[in-house]
Amino acid sequence: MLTQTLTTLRHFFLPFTHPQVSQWAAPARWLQRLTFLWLLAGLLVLYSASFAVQDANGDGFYIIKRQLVWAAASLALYHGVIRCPLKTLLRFAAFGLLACLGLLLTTLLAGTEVNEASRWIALGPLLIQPSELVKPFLVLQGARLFGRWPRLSWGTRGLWLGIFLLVIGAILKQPNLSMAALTGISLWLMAMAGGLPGVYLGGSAVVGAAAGVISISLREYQRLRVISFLDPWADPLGNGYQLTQSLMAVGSGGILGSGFGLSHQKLFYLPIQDTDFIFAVFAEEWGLVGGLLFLTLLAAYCALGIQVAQRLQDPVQRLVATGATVFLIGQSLLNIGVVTGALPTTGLPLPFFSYGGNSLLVSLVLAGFLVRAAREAYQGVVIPLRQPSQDSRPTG
Amino acid sequence: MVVPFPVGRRLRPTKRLDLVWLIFLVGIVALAGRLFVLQVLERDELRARAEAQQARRLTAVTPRRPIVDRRGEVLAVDQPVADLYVHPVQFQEPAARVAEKLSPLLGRPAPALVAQWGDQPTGIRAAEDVPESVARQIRALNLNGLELSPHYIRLYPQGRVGAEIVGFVNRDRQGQAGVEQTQAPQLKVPRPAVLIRQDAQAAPLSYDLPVGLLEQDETRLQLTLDLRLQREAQEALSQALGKFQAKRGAVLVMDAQDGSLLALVSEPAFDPNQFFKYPKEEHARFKNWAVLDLYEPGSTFKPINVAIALETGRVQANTVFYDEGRITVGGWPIQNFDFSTAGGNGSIDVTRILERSSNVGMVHIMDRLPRKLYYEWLQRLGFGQNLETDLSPVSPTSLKSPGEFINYPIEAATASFGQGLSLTPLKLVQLYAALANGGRLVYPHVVRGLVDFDGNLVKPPARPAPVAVFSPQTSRTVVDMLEKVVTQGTGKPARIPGYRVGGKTGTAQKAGATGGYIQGKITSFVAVFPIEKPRYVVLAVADEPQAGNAFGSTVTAPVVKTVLEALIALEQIPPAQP
Repeated sequence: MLTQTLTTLRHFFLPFTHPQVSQWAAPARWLQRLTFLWLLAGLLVLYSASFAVQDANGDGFYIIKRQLVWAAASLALYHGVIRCPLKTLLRFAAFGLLACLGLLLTTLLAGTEVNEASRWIALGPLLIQPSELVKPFLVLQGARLFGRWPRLSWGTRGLWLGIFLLVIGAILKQPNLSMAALTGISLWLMAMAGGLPGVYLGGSAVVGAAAGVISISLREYQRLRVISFLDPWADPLGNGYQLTQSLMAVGSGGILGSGFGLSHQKLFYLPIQDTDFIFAVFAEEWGLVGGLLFLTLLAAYCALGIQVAQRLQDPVQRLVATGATVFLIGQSLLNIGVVTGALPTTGLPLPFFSYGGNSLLVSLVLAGFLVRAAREAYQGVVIPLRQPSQDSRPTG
Repeated sequence: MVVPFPVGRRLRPTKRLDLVWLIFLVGIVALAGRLFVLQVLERDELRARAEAQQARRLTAVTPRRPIVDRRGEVLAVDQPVADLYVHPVQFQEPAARVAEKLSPLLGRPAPALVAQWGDQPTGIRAAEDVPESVARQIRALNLNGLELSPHYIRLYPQGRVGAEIVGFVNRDRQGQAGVEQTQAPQLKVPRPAVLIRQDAQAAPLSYDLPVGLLEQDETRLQLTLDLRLQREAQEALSQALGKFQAKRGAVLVMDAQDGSLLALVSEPAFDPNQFFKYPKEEHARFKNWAVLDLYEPGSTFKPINVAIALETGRVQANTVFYDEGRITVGGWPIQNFDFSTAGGNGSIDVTRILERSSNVGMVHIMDRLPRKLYYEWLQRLGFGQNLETDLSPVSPTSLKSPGEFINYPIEAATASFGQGLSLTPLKLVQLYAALANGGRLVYPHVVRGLVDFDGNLVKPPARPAPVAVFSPQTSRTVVDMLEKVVTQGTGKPARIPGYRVGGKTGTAQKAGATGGYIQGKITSFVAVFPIEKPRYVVLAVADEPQAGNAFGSTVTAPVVKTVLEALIALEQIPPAQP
């Protein structure tokens, strides 16, 4: 009985140990392994990054405990996702997207303000972040739209493009420029991967860039941030504070890093070290070696995701895999770019690393999409005698 | 219905997906390059910047070591205090409210504080030297815009007592006088500046704190002074000075065996806690004149001359001289102090000459020595050289040039009764100590050394070895003569029933700044005690006593007696003749 419970728990928390997984195609197994490597690494780094500051508040484990609870809850959802055919998942797309849009609009009216931005809805003890939750539905609906683009009427195209724009606009209005930009760029990449004509892509890129520029120039604090990113040392105690502290952390790491738990910059120097700047703590403790290993992980993950997409026959499903990859990897690269001063300082969490239940949940769901897509993509290879068809999908 | 990808070509990768992969790959490679730049190329610069904010050179203001007397009584000690600076620009409530909260702690009305701050936005020193207890309360207010700058101030709990020895430190904590100045290196607690790491809230990180950083240095600088004796001596002296309206005075008590001083009083004194309150013309108070100022010892120098004469073998203790009471040497008249009332003393021996303090007798004694020999003896005793002592870097003596001294008989004649050569009170005590200890010139000192919490010497200070100048027989002979001076001669006021005291009075004319003698005089009395086993030398000097009957016997001998009585009580010296 006990053994059985333990086995069940092991399969829940470490699903790559499940015997059934051995029947999966290699890319699916690897995607799952890399997802959990990423998740475990993230939890370790979060523990290190958050402990000192939380300890000063009385409970060093405050944040990591919360994140672990969120991880367990998110894992349940992950298990659901990888057991659910993409086709079924896609059915939730439109409804989920519209629901999230509703929530987004609600944040604008009745959101809880954190750091002068209303991005949250308080649901009892939980803080819901619709701009995060909308991502999986954008991936699904984006896939449905761009994957079936040639077959859709201009009315349908216009309707969904309009809804996408509304979502981005609502995020922008919070204001959360970086999340809006990430959402826009990811959707654009999905559209590009979906094979939309270059004219549309070029046009929308220009319009999006213009919107970004206008948004920046309208808001004083965003403009100052962008300027300070170009020369953070000009005002290291003002607008350049976050970035200079981050650069000092990254640079201090050197080649081998200071060692796990031994970041000095996380000791109240580096602001928001458990969310947006968590990579700086990681880079200080693990050095260039750790950073390159992590980038290698991202590259492998991305390569696997793209490979899975390429294997998929159905353009909609292909775009689900592409979208999940783009959102996860794109957001990671943007975050690292910010932390290393390669991009303007904006607030994006690093998937699986940063503290935040919504972000973790969404990241695991996106990873679930990808694993599920991988399983479906290689179904035909595992059973080569059968012609792959729409019906021969694994169900469990 | 448009089917973008024909069925049957299932493994065909789309070019668009390759483009997505390419974009991300470029991003990843670019970020790897960025990491390389930051963590390899710019590492040193970034690390230096980080360390500049993470590390702090710990130049903690360490307290100066306390100074204690031979019994551990504290003469000087550091007290932690803080200066309060206010930065109104950082106030998060109205200045008046802040002032109201500070007012009871600083003991100043709130409006006065507000007025002091005025319109200045930052860096106003609102209070100086706030005691630590108050500083803690101010800190507990948790107000923005207040800054406490901790430091130490030197407290001298004994006030004027012992101030001439201890000296004082100025506002910058530099020793300005006394032991505070001469022993500055020993008083400073050595603490090399260490680099410690701290978090952004300035809390030091423990993992690389240097070993021993938090070790308490409880070493103290111990003096040979006995504050009880010092107090008695000061009291007795200031009474005598007041009574005779003398300009200044000094009392010295030395242990003749090793040259350590048990008391050294130099009046007028000062309060080292209030050194800044003395006007410039009174700064002479800070100088320990007993160590620094020359005077002509007069009759108190006669026993030293006798010791020289005996040591050369040219004179014996029982050699008899004819004392005319008044003679002329080199055209200058010389007479005894009591010639006008008592006339000459006739034929008297050396002991009697000292008892009577006969100037003429002394001239005859020293006339037995070739002047060159006499001069060489004065040099051997240290005249013309700086006296080495830990009380001061310089402690002068003065001697005429050899040509002057040897060619003009008047010089040797006046020197024989202690005029025409000058020394400091401290030097005279050293010479008497040689008589008391069997003929050795000891190193006059006041510092016992650095001691640990239990009073054990951490490191005994290096002191010059004593120099033997007189034979034990000679010094014994002179000490016996000194006893006679007290029992039968001019030193009678210093007699203490039951105890054997030896001593010599002195009433010298003062040399003016331009040469020649001025109106004032210096009266002194020096005692050696106890005669049966000489150990202590006590000297009392009063400069320019005004009253008519001011002599060594009337002004200073009673002071010496009081000090001796105190010494007997403190050291529990048994009587010689029960």
